[in-house]
Amino acid sequence: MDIRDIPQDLLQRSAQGDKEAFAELYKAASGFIYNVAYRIAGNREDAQEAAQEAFLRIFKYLKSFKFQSSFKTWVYRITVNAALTIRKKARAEQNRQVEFQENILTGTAGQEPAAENEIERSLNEKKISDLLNTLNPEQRACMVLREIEGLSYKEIAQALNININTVRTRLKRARETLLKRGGDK
Amino acid sequence: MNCRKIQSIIITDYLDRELDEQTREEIERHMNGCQACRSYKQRLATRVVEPLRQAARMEPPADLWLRVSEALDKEVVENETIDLGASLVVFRPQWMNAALVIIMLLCTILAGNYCVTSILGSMSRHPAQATVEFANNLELSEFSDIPNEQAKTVYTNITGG
Repeated sequence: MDIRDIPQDLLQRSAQGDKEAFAELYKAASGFIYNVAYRIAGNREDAQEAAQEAFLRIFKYLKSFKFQSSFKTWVYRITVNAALTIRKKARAEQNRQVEFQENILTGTAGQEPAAENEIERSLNEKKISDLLNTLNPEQRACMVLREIEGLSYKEIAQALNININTVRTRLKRARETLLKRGGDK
Repeated sequence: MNCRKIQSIIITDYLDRELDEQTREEIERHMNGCQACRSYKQRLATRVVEPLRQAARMEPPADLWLRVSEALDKEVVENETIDLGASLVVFRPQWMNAALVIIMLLCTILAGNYCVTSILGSMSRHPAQATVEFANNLELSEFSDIPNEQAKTVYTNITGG
């Protein structure tokens, strides 16, 4: 089940503290929550912490969710905020570098020595991580929601609680920064 | 539109398909005849947009639900503890809360009154005691520097005896 397909009664049961219902909600939302958390926090350990915090906040505040906006947008907002908070606490660049090197040597899942495609995947990951690390947290959040999650400007504005022109400006500045980093003047 | 304006649209709304059809066609017509803008769009696409749009989706680790579940249980226990405390307040009759406030207020006033009285009392009592003690300890010989009869009069006036 995708997060967009979560039935309202499942949300309502979860809001009333029904843990089985919340487990169903977790199954539908964990993939995308973790992915957003990972791309903003920048490493697995912080992403897990951010995703856990996001689920806790969802559980805690679901009863006050008014169903006036989309549930997915609300979850985006919670996840982005949790990930930005964790990132600000930051275990820093050093951890991320260590993790990358470990991936190269041991393979990402840690089961087998790195296969060729695994190394390629790690290098791609390194490239993405380097690109995102160039940006400030606000630009990073906008870029993740736009490029990786494919949200429209309106959806990003709702998720981050900013206006559409701010979304446009942040994306413009982020892309200009990345272009300059790639050699453009 | 000049190239600068066109490029500011390419880097945002054009790449993100946020333009209406008419403006999009206008930008594309411009790019067909403008190498600089075409190249700008190409660089953006290859260096910035494509690498991020092709990023692999990261799957949550298997033990994440366990961590979330444990954190939820802890949260529920904490909430129940808080609710128990809150329910005690809720079920206490309102008149009892009012009475408690009044009693506390009265205690404060009485305590304040007692303190003020004690301080003022000690301020007025201590000088009187000191005077009496001083008078009681006086000897007639201490007035030897004044003539005999006058010394007696002064001594009697002060000590009363």
